[in-house]
Amino acid sequence: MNHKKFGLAAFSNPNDKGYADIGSNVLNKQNDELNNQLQIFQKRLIEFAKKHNAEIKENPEFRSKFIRMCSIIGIDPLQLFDKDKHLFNVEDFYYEICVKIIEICRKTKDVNGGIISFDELLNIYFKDIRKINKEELEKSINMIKSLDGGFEIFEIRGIKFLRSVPNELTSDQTKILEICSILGYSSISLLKANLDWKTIRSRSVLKEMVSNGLLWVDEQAGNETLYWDPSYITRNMDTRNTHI
Amino acid sequence: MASAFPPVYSFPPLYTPQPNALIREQQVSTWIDIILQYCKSKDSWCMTFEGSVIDLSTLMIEIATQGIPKERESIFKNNDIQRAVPQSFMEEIWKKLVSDGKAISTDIKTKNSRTFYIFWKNVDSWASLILQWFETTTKLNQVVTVYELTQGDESIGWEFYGMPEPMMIHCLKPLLARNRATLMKDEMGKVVAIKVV
Repeated sequence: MNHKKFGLAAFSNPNDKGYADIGSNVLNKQNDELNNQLQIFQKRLIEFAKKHNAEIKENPEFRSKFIRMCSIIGIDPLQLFDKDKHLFNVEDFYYEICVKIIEICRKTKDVNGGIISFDELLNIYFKDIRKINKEELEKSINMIKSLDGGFEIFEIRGIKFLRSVPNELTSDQTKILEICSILGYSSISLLKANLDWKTIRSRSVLKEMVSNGLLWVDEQAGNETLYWDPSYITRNMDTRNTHI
Repeated sequence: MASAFPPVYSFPPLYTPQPNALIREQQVSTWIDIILQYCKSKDSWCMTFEGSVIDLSTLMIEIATQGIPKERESIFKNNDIQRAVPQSFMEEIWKKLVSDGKAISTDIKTKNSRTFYIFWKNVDSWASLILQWFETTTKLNQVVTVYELTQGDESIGWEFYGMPEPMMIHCLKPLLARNRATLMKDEMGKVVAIKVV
């Protein structure tokens, strides 16, 4: 339509516009209707949430189911709750988690270089407070993201991690963390055997990760330096707990 | 023994001084926490430079005979994972412990002893606990010997029961500073008794 037309085709423009108007009218009507429907649905959801407020607060499974349903139809449940003061508690709940996450990240930053696994967050730090699950944790982290504080979620071998310092992990660094997630450490020879990296590449990436505080050096493992991932500390603890 | 330690104690790189300055700081304070926790759980007042706890009587004997300490179980050696803290790093940890006021050399005058008194509570809280003892046992305005305070029947069950005398005197310093206590010395200048008002 934007192209200039010549000959007879040039006269068909006004007609086209008319059709377009009809078309957009229909679409607009549909849109309005959909909006109406959505509003009704929202209202229903609020009513539902109001009715089961206590249950939403108490039961993490129920909460996550409810929230999943909201996100499917594109409603941010936390905004939904805002409209009704009966439901402030649910939002408070998430704010609470946000604050807690930030606290934990700052407290552990020097130990783990600003990278913490979801498992560690859940099993160690959120164990005593209240039962929350992975989805809720992720939801809270997504809320923190709006602060532009450099919080980001990433995955290594299916395990989710939270990075709380605004440093991008390079793909090399990610690969090393991947290897660390198996044994707890990596080393130059391990990288050579598994990824076929040249010594100089391994060394420079490992060194950089040490200076970023992501890995700890271990000089007492025989003839080779090992580079340990601090998340190994709590991983060890988990297995110990389950053995008891 | 393992139960006295946090999970980080089995983390192999804890035994290698970390090159990253921030992490190193964290590492040293982790070690300090481990030492304090360990001494507390073992009810120990003294630890050697090499990281083994000793009780008072053996300490006295060693000081008296200038003997070489025997090989003992050391906190800095973790046989489970085959790691040990190197000498130079121990030095760093002790330096920090002393500068934080959480440990003092058992040789209070020359400060170059290889054994340390460990304060798993800080001096001020020890002082207020002692003051509390004076109040609950109604010993205020009375002269009490240091022996009575640390080994006497009336201290049994108190956390400072069995505390070495030089350490006790160190803990009384905050009370002296507040003019709540007076020390009495014998003819050799050794503190033997105390009066708290």
